[in-house]
Amino acid sequence: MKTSHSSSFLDDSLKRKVIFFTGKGGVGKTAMAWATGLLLSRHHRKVRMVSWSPFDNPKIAEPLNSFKIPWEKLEPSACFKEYTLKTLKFEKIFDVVFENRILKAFIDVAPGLSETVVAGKVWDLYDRAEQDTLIVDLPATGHALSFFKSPMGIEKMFATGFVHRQAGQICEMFRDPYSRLDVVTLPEEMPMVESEQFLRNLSELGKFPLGFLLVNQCTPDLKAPKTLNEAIPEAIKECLEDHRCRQERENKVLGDAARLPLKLKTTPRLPTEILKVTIEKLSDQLET
Amino acid sequence: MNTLWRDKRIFLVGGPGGVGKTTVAASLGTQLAKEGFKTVVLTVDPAKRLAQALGFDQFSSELQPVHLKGVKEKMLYASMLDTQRYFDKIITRFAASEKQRDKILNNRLYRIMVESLGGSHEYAAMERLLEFTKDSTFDKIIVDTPPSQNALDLLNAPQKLADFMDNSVLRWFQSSNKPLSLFRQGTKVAMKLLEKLFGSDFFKALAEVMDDLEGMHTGFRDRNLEVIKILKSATTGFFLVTYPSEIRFDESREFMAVLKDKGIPISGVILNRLEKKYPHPLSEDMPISREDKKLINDILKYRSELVAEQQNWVTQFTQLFHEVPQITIEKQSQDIHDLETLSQIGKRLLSLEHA
Repeated sequence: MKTSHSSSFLDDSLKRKVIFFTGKGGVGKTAMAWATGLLLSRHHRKVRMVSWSPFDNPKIAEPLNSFKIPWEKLEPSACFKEYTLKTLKFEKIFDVVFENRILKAFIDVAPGLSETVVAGKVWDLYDRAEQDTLIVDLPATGHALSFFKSPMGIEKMFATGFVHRQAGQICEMFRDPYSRLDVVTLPEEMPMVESEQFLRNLSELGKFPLGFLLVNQCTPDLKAPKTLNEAIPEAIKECLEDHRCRQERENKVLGDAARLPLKLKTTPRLPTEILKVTIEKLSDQLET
Repeated sequence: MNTLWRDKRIFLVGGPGGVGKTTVAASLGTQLAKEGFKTVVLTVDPAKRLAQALGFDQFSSELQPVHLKGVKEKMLYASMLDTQRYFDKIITRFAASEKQRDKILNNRLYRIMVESLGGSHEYAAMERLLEFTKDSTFDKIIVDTPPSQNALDLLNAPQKLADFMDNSVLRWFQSSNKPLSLFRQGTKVAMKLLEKLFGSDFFKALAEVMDDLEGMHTGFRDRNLEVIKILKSATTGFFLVTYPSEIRFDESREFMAVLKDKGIPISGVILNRLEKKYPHPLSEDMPISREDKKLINDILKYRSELVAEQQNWVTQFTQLFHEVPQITIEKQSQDIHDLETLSQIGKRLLSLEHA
């Protein structure tokens, strides 16, 4: 267990009841969420993690099991059933009427329904507060936006119904100053553009407790000597130049990112072969 | 040019998000056009810089000609997919009357549905592809598919939508006053329940869209069959763009299994963004200060570790896809900002041969 030095990311995270993670597909959202969970758990926090991701790789769960952090997957139709049963208490009818393909088609297509029931499940865990920190791994930005949008839309658009009432509670969770939303990205054009777009769309919905822009896989800050001896082979000069170009390009992207309403936190790209080690290393980096 | 590229007309470029699919699609288009084929690249997720590399400010959903140096005729076109516009077009085509069309297009829930309906981007991409295949203007059609973690998303989208449009599902929502069958009595209970859950306004609006969509299912089903036929055709090639890492390896394995299951062969695997191998470390007798040597060696060591990490996964990919032609593309040290770089990558892609 580590208790010594701390970082602003760590200090801030220790205060939160719930932290949401989103970002463009393939930037390492899940790894970042897991690493934050591991970091908090190393600091004696009781952590619980939930993941709502369309991508189903059982391998992603392996590191978590080895870290002994309770984890569960959020699946819309299971959340829907749990939620309906809890609210309406009619198990028999539910089974007869809802265990069919029509309900599945309905859940697929009803706008915002999946998002609202999943958000409802997250709210339930948050409300029960059996953990110190709830870590929520959301899908890529487009879907994550509907996660925030749907309950808010339902609260505004429809004046009646159980979902309306539940949506109100979910919105309160989003506005809770002890909640936090982090956006994971890469020091590259496209993920940054998408992050910016997401934040712009989100700001149209209202005020959210925005946290960190976590820029994953940055080139480590290694610098070559200013002048290079002529004896150095061309191939090595090329490597150093390539490295410098990479840093320059990334620094430009990071400079542009400074205008976003999030605190910037970078983590370096570290060569590792397996996910568990990646998460452990990432967790160390988040602590610094 | 080898037969893989000469004989096929449609090239689907697929894979997970963030691996450089769009760049691969644009490179392929650039080079095929230079080789004399009239080519269109349909993209979904375009970087602004890539648009600039092709010579325009931004991608648009119209066909945009790309000016290629030394090529007189307009040989290359790019077009961005506009999902909403495509759905409106589909509705317009399948609607029985103008009244039905307007009713759907003006329903507030319809627009949200197009956005949130799983697979609507994929469906629109396939729809656009169908349109191009029927048009003899283009010799080569390249589709940069929407990023899908799973090949199923892409391939099942038309099927899913056709299922949803199935009349029995639509009928379930209809507010007809016909005598209730036993089934409809059960659904009546369910409807009441949904109303209680979601509030009557929401539910009414949804039931309305469903009602309006009646009769369109045949159109959707027929299109679905056409898409499947094209995907399985010998003149279509499916290319998987991926990246050598653990997560991407697992995804790619699943991707391949799904395609195999559907009877769609992969024409090639493109391992993108490979780190270039450099010598490491500096030789001991290099006449420079110890501090400088350490600075340089730290960078060389870091870079060689990145190479080693990737190499392990490249080997695994080679084993997994041993029956499929593979190619690696080096990571670019600069953002791609010109057609020349795209053309270079394109040349490399065209060296892929039939299995």
